[in-house]
Amino acid sequence: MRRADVVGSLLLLTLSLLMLLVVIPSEVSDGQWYGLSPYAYPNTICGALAIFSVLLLAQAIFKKNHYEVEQKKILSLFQVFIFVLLVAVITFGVWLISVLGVLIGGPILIASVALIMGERRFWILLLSSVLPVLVIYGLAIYVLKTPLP
Amino acid sequence: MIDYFLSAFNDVFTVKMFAYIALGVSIGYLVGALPGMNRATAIALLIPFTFEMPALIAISFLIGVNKGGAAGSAVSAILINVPGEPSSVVTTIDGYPMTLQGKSQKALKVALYASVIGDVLATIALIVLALPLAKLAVGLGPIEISSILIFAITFIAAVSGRSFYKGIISGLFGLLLAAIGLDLETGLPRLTFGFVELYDGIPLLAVAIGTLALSEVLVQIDNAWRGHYAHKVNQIKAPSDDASRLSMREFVGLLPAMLKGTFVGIVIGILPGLGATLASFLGYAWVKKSSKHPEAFGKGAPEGVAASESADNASVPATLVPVFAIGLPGSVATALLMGAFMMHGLTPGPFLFRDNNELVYGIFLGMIVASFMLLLVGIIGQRFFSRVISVGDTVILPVIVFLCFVGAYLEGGGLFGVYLMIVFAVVGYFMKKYDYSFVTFVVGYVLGPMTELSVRQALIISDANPATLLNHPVAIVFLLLAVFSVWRFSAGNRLKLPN
Repeated sequence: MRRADVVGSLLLLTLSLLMLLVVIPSEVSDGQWYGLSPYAYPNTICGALAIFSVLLLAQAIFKKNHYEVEQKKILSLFQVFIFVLLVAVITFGVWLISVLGVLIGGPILIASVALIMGERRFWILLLSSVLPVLVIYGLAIYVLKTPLP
Repeated sequence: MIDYFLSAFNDVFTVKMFAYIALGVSIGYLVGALPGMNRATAIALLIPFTFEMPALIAISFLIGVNKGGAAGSAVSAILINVPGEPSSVVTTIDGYPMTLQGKSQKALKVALYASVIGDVLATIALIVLALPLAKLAVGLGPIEISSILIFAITFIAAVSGRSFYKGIISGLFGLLLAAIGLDLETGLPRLTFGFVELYDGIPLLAVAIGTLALSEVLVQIDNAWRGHYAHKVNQIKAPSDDASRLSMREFVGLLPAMLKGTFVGIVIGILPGLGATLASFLGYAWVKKSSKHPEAFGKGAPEGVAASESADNASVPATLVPVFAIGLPGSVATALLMGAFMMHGLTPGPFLFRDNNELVYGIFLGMIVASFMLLLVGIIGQRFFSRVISVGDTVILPVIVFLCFVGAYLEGGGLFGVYLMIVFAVVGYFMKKYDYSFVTFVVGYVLGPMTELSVRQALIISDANPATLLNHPVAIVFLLLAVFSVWRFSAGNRLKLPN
């Protein structure tokens, strides 16, 4: 966890400095204002974010006894692989829904995630992917009167 | 007050209202019973389904989910030694040993009755306390409100998670995300990166569903990899009828434990950020310490189950006290409920009593109905919920992924909202893995617009002169409390839960 905090605080520090020096000056529109400059509020937050990132970094470096309990590795390479695979499958599933519609894309999304999790029983896969989609689709269309893709 | 209740009576005592509350409690119970899923997730997923409902029904339905979730989490804690929610960890200490002794039905009954008693009493406490506190809060100006918000975010950062710095970073991150959209004064785009969809800010449900629900699914799949997705329910036969039954005498004997747990739950619930988990730990510790037989605890003492469950459920209505009084959420679930209030055109806080008096008392009545519905759903459905938890995660988690898609889509952002949700799921996953408090993050995000508005107003009123603070003693007190929180908790002296 200690190494993770060092990396995390450095990433956060980079993010807050990037916000302060690049993003906020270019992505906040100037205009007529009376009380507080449009830059002031996001600048204050990012400034505070930078300060606390430095404090977290200092804690991770100088207060080693703070980390005695948790030294184990949080994420293994295998876990990162599974995580990336899942996010990719979910993103692909959402794209598929946007192209083919929820009635086709929905069951594929559910079945894909279930397959990754190791579910191989055909009937369970079929029922658990088709039934919820039909129920939710009916609920959205006929009860909420909101169209789904 | 009686007049307000009477006028709200006709709106609440309808078949439709009862049906929705029953549905909410049942869904909450079910989600609470499923290990790993929690009531905040359920609320985030269900908010889009309430858009078409009248505000009273929608809020009562969601509060029903919240209450049901708190009670349902005991089922898996007792039967499979896996708490449905972190707040039911304590219930496993005595609940699971009772199951191993063949007393699972008795343990479930104790948990249910304790939950209902805690819930009813805390709802009454909410009704009694909210209005007087709101009357006090009406007198607060932007300077006081700014200081209260600064204190709230600091305090929640201090007490949630393991690191104060990570907590405060999460809160600031939430505030920063809330700053995306149109500037309050100029009305011009701010941090929108050219996306018109972001002019109204990042949709709450994309943030909530992403960081709470979808990221939790990713964590669950990740944690239980290599085929550990099934939950085995112990089917140990009761040695006698008495082992399953809870007699009136036993119930009366458990009342002191339930009342102590309820008291702790109410006190801890009102304070922002402390949460139901601490309440159930402290309730359990108090009952054990004051017991004549402390050695029985941990070996299947019904008092232990009664104390933890009453404290857990009492904290649910209690967390709504600051929401109704000053518009301040103290937990993820209440932050989401506050978001639901706003989506239905209501502004939580003291002016809710002035502007929507009948609605507020309607919600209070709805909460009392939900308390009794909890008892009904628990008695009728407990055996069903006990069976549902044995359904494997390979069936449940993929369906939740689909529900996440639907929830984010229905809020109105369309596919843009869905892709944003996936981004926040990634953020939430790493926040959970590396212990960045997502409670502070969500609370910071929900309080963001209010914080910005009050800070801007405070600066204009005070002409940005710190000396003006001397005329605002309430603000000074809260700012000092915020400084105290930083000093007390950043030094590493964090609140420690009992082993």
